[in-house]
Amino acid sequence: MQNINLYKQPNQWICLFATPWRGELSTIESHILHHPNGQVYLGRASGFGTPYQVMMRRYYHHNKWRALGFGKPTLDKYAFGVSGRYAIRGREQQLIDFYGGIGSPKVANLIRGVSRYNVAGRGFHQLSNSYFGNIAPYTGF
Amino acid sequence: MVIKYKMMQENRFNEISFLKEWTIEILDFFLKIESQQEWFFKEYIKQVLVAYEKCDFRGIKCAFNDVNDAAFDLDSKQYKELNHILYLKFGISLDNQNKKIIKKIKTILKRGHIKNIDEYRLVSERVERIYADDDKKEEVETLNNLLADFETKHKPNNDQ
Repeated sequence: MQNINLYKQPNQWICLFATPWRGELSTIESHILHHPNGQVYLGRASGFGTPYQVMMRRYYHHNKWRALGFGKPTLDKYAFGVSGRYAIRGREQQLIDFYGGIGSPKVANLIRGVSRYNVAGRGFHQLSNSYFGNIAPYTGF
Repeated sequence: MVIKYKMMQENRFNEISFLKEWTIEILDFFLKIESQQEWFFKEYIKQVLVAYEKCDFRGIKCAFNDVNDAAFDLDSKQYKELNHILYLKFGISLDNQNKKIIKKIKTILKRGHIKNIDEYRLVSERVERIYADDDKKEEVETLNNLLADFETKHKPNNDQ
């Protein structure tokens, strides 16, 4: 029997049969890569498949981070659609800020997930709050 | 000299006007298909207009890149519909924008290094878009090397 996956969006439940699926609906997720020294790399990826499949496919192509010893990819949040994409953008930045922000010894990312100059930065942040709850204050302009 | 400066200013104004119009057209489309997040898209449009009033070229460019990226994730029916709307209004489509991005990527590849954070973001987004495509493995690897090279030479930057 095939798996039945249920993925929750803010306003609806989507029932997805037959894992893995490939369809028109693109999945976007945020994830965390861990280094044995305690550092983290925060990322996001989109594609077709279950959120876990999307994350693992992206992890496979994170050549540099894998070579540096970053592993244990952990799925953070996922969403669908245009709003979902923007919510994940906000989430990625909140994750970076949650771990101390760019430049923190804990964070391996080199640049912000959302540019400070992005006119929609605050909107991404608020959308992420409404999808997933708040984990860090807004740090853009 | 003065005439050249005026022409440059005019070109800049035309470009920022185009970026604003294009971005708002796509955001209007998103608003139509995802009306449950009406507040977000209306706020986004408002911020684009504020940036336009301030002649915030960088801010509008960010929004322009973001909406184009999001549009490439639409399902094929919606993508075609949006492309049609854009073509009727501007005489060009998302495919033209995609070609421009590919051209910029080719310039970076030819140069052999990433110059700044804007290019870094552009290349990252390109990798994000094609990493799962088996036909583009080689391009992904080359772009990943460029990204890694930039990362080793630049300090973390929380200001951009």
